[in-house]
Amino acid sequence: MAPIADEQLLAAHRSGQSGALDQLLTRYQDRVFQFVIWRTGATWTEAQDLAQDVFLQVCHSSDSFGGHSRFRTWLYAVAGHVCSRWLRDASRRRDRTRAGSVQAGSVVLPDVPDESPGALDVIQRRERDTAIRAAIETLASKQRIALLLRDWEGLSYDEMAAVLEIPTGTVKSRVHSARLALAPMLAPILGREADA
Amino acid sequence: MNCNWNAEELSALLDGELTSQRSHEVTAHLTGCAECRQTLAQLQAAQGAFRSVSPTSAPSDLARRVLAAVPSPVRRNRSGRRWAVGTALAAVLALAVWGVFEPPTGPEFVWPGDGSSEGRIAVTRFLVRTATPMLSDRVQLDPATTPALLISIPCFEPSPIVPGQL
Repeated sequence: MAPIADEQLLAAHRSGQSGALDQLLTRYQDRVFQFVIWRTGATWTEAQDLAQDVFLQVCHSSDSFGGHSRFRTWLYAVAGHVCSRWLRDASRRRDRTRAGSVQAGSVVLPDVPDESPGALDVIQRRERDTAIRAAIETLASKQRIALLLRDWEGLSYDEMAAVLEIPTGTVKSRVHSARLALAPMLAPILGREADA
Repeated sequence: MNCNWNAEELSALLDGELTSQRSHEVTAHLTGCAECRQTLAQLQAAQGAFRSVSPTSAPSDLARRVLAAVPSPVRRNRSGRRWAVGTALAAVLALAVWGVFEPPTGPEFVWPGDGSSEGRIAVTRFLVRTATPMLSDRVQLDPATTPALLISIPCFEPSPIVPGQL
């Protein structure tokens, strides 16, 4: 059975149907959390507050969603505005501490029991993901955001332009330059896989 | 086509963002250009690698915090309805009182009948009876108390108002 469309879930939430908002949160919380970290460079705690603000803003403004765009396009437009406002406020708080911040993308690897089936595969997979993520983290913030919206969310260039409030040509350029910068860093990782 | 073209079109090709005609042209070029094919393969690998990793997991209590902070849409709608009903009832009562105590005068307004108090009562009763069913379509008015409220207005006689028929 096809999953319920985001737009239907939002309508269900507006009509008071319980569980609809939970499903939207489950779908988007990780990627929105990643978005706000990459967009703002916020600490873990700050990013949590920001992501919460994004979803609260979505709920409070849900009546203004007219269905002229996809829900996810609107969601990231809201997220972008929340982040921009936070960055403006942050510029006035230059003395804030970054103690305890967690670098975006850092992954804490849990202990993997040696005796579990496929443990080696799990470890190799995690090592590979960590290496790819480390490569991604070297990209400029704008490039990472472009890839997030394009390759994780599947937004078109026009939708991305609307979210980021930049020309479509700039979107095209960012996506391309991001992949071009990523490619040589990934070559050793992907080359090992090819040799294996 | 030579290789002095906009290489961004290779990413656009991967993303399905080229027009059909341009897509054919780029594909035709790739057939004869090993260098551009290699670039395309690198871009494709980068795209695949990015898609293969997951975003940083959000804190486990993010959803709980959001759900706790979001007011229920049902409660919000009910609150809005109560406000609307209160305003409408107040307007109806104001009209009723106005009809009894402040009869308009002047050539542009002619009261029904002979302009006596019966005429004003008839107009006020019409206003209330027109407005009340409109309200009761939207909310559940309590039939036990609403007639009592209306007949408390001096212009109303208890007999024409039947509980449950508002």
